[in-house]
Amino acid sequence: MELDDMKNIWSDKPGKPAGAEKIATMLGRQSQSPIEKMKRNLRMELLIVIFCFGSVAAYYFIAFKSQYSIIGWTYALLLILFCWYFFRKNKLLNEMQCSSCQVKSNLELQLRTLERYVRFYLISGTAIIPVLFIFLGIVLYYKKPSLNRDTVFYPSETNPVWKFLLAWLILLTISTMIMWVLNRGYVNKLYGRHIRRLKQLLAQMNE
Amino acid sequence: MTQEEFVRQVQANEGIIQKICRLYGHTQPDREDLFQEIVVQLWKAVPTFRGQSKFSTWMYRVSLNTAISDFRKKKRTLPVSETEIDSVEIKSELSDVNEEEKLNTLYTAIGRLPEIDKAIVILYLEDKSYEEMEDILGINTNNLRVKMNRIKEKLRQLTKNISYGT
Repeated sequence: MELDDMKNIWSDKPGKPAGAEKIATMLGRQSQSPIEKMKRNLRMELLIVIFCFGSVAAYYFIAFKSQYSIIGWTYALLLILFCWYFFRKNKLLNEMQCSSCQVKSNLELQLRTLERYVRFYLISGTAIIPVLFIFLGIVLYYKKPSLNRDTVFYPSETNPVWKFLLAWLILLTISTMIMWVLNRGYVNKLYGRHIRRLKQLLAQMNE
Repeated sequence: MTQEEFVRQVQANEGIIQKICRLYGHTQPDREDLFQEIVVQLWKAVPTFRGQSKFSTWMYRVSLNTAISDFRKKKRTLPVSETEIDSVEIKSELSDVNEEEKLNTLYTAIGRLPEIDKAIVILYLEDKSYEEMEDILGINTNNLRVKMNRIKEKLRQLTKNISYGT
């Protein structure tokens, strides 16, 4: 079968026309593309985080006669950090697709932006550990400068400052490394297939 | 562009979307979903159409970008041979049974090509010049000519195998 001989037959439509009314109805529906789904999930996560962190912050500001307002401020600050995190992710998602660009440019853009998105996700998801440690440490030592018993994680007469800092540093390093490994596995599970697929499509174009 | 103008343009060029859905959607539900997704993406991309290229060229870009980037897990129904699906869809459009069979075979063969090759064949069969194909796909014309020769050879083999039932 020669392809050039098929052009005349090819010009016939392969199915029934959809109709103006059906097409007009489609315009009001949500896109089901992976990128739009990610954006919707992100908005939902942001609303949940605002509600949860906001509620906890408000609770600590109001309850206990503002004795623990520092915890409230800690949560408020974490909420601001999360908002910046979500804003950054949303920006990357908005940059991820250009459907009216040439197919090759669109695929390159998607791959580049998705790799940036994954890197950002990985770094921020891992950096949250030292950030939380620092916040926890500030709150803990502010509220309870000393304990009744000896522990390497609290400064005392028998536990010099360098020792307790070293203990926290080791704990922090181990936790961060574990978080990095877990995040890498999770991110690869979420986006690894998409990245491989995009690379495959670009390889087809460049063959 | 108003919604009415847009709907008219889509209706006038609906064949493009249907052919892309036919080749990139593996089952009827997939094709219907893809058709809807392409229409939604076209409507969202309307502000980017500035009349510098033909509406059909712009439509090809958006439709192919949507179809090729569609990484959703495909819905699977009970396994039905592709030839049976082709026959149900094409039968009413063609009077010549021999032509119908050839077209079914062609659709089946194109459906077995990699995603990018499918896009190249669609544009070739739509009588687009290599310059227009470059404008839509972003692959240079020399590369397109080489690919097209390889695709023609692949399709010859595929159509032979399909005709012999392999």
